[in-house]
Amino acid sequence: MINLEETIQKCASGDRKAQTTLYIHFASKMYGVCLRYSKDSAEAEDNLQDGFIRVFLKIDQFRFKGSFEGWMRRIMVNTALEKFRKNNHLFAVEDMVVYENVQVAEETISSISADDLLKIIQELPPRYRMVFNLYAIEGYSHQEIAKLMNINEGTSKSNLSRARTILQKKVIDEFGLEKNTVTTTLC
Amino acid sequence: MLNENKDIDQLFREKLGDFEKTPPSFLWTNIQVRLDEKQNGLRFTMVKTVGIAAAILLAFLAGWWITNPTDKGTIPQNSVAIQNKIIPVADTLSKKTTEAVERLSVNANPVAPVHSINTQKVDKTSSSNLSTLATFAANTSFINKINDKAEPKTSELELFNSEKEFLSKLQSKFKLAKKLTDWITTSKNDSTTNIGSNLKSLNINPFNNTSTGETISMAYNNPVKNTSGRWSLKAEIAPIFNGQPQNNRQGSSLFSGSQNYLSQKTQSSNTVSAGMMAGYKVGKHLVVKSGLVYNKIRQTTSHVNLMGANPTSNIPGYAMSASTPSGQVVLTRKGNSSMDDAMNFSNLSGISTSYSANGELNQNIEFIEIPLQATYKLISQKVNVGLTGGISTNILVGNSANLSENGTGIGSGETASMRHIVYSGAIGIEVGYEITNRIVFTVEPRLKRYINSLSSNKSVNFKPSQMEVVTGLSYSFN
Repeated sequence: MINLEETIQKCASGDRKAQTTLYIHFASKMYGVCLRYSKDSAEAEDNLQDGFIRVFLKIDQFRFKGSFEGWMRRIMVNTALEKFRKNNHLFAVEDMVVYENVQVAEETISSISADDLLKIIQELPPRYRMVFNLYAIEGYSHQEIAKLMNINEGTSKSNLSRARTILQKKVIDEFGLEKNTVTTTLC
Repeated sequence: MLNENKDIDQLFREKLGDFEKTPPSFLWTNIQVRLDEKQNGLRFTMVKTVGIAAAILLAFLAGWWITNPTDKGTIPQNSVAIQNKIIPVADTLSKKTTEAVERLSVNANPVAPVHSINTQKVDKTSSSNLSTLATFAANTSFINKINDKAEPKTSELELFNSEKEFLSKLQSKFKLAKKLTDWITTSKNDSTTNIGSNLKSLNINPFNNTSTGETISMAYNNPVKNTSGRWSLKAEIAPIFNGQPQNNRQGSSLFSGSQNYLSQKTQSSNTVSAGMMAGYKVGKHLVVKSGLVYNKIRQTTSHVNLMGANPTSNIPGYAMSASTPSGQVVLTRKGNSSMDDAMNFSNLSGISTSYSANGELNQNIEFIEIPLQATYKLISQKVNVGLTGGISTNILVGNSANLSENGTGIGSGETASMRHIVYSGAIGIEVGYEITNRIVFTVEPRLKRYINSLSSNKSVNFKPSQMEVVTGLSYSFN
């Protein structure tokens, strides 16, 4: 177990060994984050690289208020978002769809691996992947997502709904889940 | 049943919320390289700017001195100022003297032989720079006086007397002028051995002939330049015998623990340097030099241990890395190989090296060197000997690495974290042979050592030493 505070302070002074230690400690977790926001491993590697460089360049600004891991995670997410904003200028037509909330049997879930789900999420169109990640996994609100992605809230909701529909279809197609209950919700 | 069900959001949140996966090992190397680049970026930009400016200045100076050799070794016309006299332009004087003599020759045939001798003298001396001093001897007031006397008279006898008087005075002036020119020549020669003197003005009275009764003051705007090749240009070429690296030093702390178990060995190869140097003689014994020289360091690592070389991911385009005394080498796979990843062995000590036995890594690191050297000449004869010392700024211009297995290229890349600017020091003994007055053939055994590590990675301390035998041909100007 590393002494995180001491390692961070050494990193701030440019100590390469401390930077190595920090990288080894957090690289796997952050690579997991980057993979969720990317279409493939190559894009995730680019984001991880850029994210860690930003972490080391800004680590002296970390004030030990809150989780360091959370701070790093936000940097990784922001790195992915910046790249998205740079590469995706076309906005989808805003529409509101009704999402049929399909519930999945617990015993079936255990048979699905994280790698399987990662593959499905990486196949989503970039905008849907971003919104779904930010909303469903990171826990951001539509208002926050709209601000982060420079879109309006309606678009965020619409994109989330479409992302869910696609994901749900793929999960059912690939893992043959039973439709136990259908509840209709507005996102 | 309902309680056991989860919606799609929950499914992904639970499975991927804390998802972890080990990234490829080369990523950390890339991150280190980019961190170094960012840290060194500003400094490099500044040093590069200064280096380029210095190179341009050198090129300008060399060009200027090559294209203006006639300025050197002569006394500027305005360097001699005559005080206490009103002297117009020397040419005017010369013309007036000549005109006066010509008039005399028209009117005084009996003295034609004498006159013709003097005319010859006037014409001859007026052809050189020093004629200004000779003609000066016949100053305006004097000439005018003579001219007045030389105006046509009614009596030929009177005219003849006045001619005689003029010619005798003119002769005395020529003597005076000759003494003056002799003195100038002597002082020029003396100045070659007294370059350092800050002689700005000198009051002289070199004449025993007191007929003028005047003191001439000579003011030097510049010290007289040395005529024996103050500037020189030298083309040089040298075989470089690179010192062998210490194999116990490794390139990266990340992999340092995995490098002590196999017989990976790095050796330096001999290379060649070549360049052009401009020299400036600041004193009888001291010459300062600068220029541009190409220099190369080449290293070969046999039985190289690779990270990321797993045959299962034997795909072209994949990254691999190796650790060498000059630092991490980042490679991109070009083709299939049987070599395995050194990280795949859980207990590495004592394991056979066969899996990497055929791998050979070649690293080429190239610099353009801008030296600042001083040579102190101990012997300045036909064969001259001097001690040379100096420091150099080395700008990285080439960085490549090639990986081969049984002679087949399987990967290429570069050494990571190389500094763009490094400094080196050198000492040597220069032996020169004067082929002609201007051309000198030189041989100089020289020892060179890099002052700072070639790698910006703090874990790497790579300061190679080089032994060079610099052979050169030097050409002196002026």
